[in-house]
Amino acid sequence: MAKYKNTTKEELTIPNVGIVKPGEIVELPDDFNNANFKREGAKKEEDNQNKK
Amino acid sequence: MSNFLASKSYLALKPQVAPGTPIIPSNFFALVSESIRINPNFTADRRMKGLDWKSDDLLKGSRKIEGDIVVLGDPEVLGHLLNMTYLKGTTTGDAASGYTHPFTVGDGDSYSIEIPRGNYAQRIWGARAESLKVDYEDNKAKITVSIKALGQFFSASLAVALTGAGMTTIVLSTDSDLRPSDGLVIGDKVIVGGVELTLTSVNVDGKTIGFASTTVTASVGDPVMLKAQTPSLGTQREPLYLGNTLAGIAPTSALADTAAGSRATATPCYNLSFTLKNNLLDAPASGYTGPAALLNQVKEAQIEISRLFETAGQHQKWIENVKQAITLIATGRFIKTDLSTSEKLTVKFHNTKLITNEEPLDAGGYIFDKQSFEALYDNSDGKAIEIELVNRTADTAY
Repeated sequence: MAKYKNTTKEELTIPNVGIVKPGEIVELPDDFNNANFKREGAKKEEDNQNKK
Repeated sequence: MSNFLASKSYLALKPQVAPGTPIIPSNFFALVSESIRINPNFTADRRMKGLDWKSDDLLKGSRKIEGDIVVLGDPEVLGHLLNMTYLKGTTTGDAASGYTHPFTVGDGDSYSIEIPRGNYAQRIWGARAESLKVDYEDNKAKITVSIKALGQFFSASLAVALTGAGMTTIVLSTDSDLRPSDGLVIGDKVIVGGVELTLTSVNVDGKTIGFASTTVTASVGDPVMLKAQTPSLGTQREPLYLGNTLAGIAPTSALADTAAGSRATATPCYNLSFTLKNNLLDAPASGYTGPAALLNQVKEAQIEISRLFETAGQHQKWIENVKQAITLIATGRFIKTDLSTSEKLTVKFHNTKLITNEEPLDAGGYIFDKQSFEALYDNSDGKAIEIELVNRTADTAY
């Protein structure tokens, strides 16, 4: 699991997760992929980003 | 092998800054159906080679990427589809009262569109609306937008094997296209050899993509697929309803506006639909496998109305070729908390004339006027059509 932040100004609904408020940080699976969310600590984890 | 439910798909949209520059779509909407397809226009190689069989191969023609997207007509997705069809003017309003977006006849924006097929996504880019149809099915507004696109990325195959530790680039096969990586952007995730890679570069050569040093093994010909996003949907809005739509039909647009202002003066329609057409030209050019640009040709629109036959008035207007202006006002849910502003779609056809007006007789049923109007340019008003949409989406999304 990794922490992702909703970078939009909207409440967003993610299937099987629920509603995420603007700016809220939530734990999501490592392979989560969505342009509206930024992985927290992405800089540190950049080298590990490409993984099985 | 995995199987995938179509219901887990979505529609993601985002206007591009330039027609030829794809972007990762981040506005997610519920999808009813789609039929977007690549057509390489393969034809049989008919060169004479001593065979008594028609052909031994297929050769590529001019590629087309086109098809329909069908959604329910809620004011948020409608805003993007109108923005893809017509020119959006200056937006006014705010989040509390709603945003008012005017649209006029002019070039719409080019969009990047993403539609997943299973775990993988098809990115269609440089997409423009060939036509947009709004009709009502079981009271609910349904929008069918027919799109054409400059390109797409769904998958490509590996041209150079990946051999294990320290891999940083992928070279894609050019068997289908000399620029197979067009459509990918930095930040995209692709899957190859069972490994997920985040792109850090997309080379201008159109076939090389880069990623951080990773251990990955894959053979020449293995697929490189674009990973689907996990959808993140904003608040789902109700579609506009026929039951909340008023049609004003009158000799002038101003009178049609007045007529559409209340149920008492509006024309009861049992069904109605309208289609806006851009008649895009897929402009071919050397250096492009598909179209180099999608250019608007003359625009047109048609309106279909079904209404109870009351007098021969519409029949006479048809055969005497009489101008009628039509204003449609579809009101949605309230936006402002004091219920003073609402979602609203207003479509004004300044000059229409009946192409056909049928009154078919069916045993046991009422007689209807089944009408097809051509939307014409109005010389006195100086326009054919104008559209205004009030929704909750700020101008920045367009």
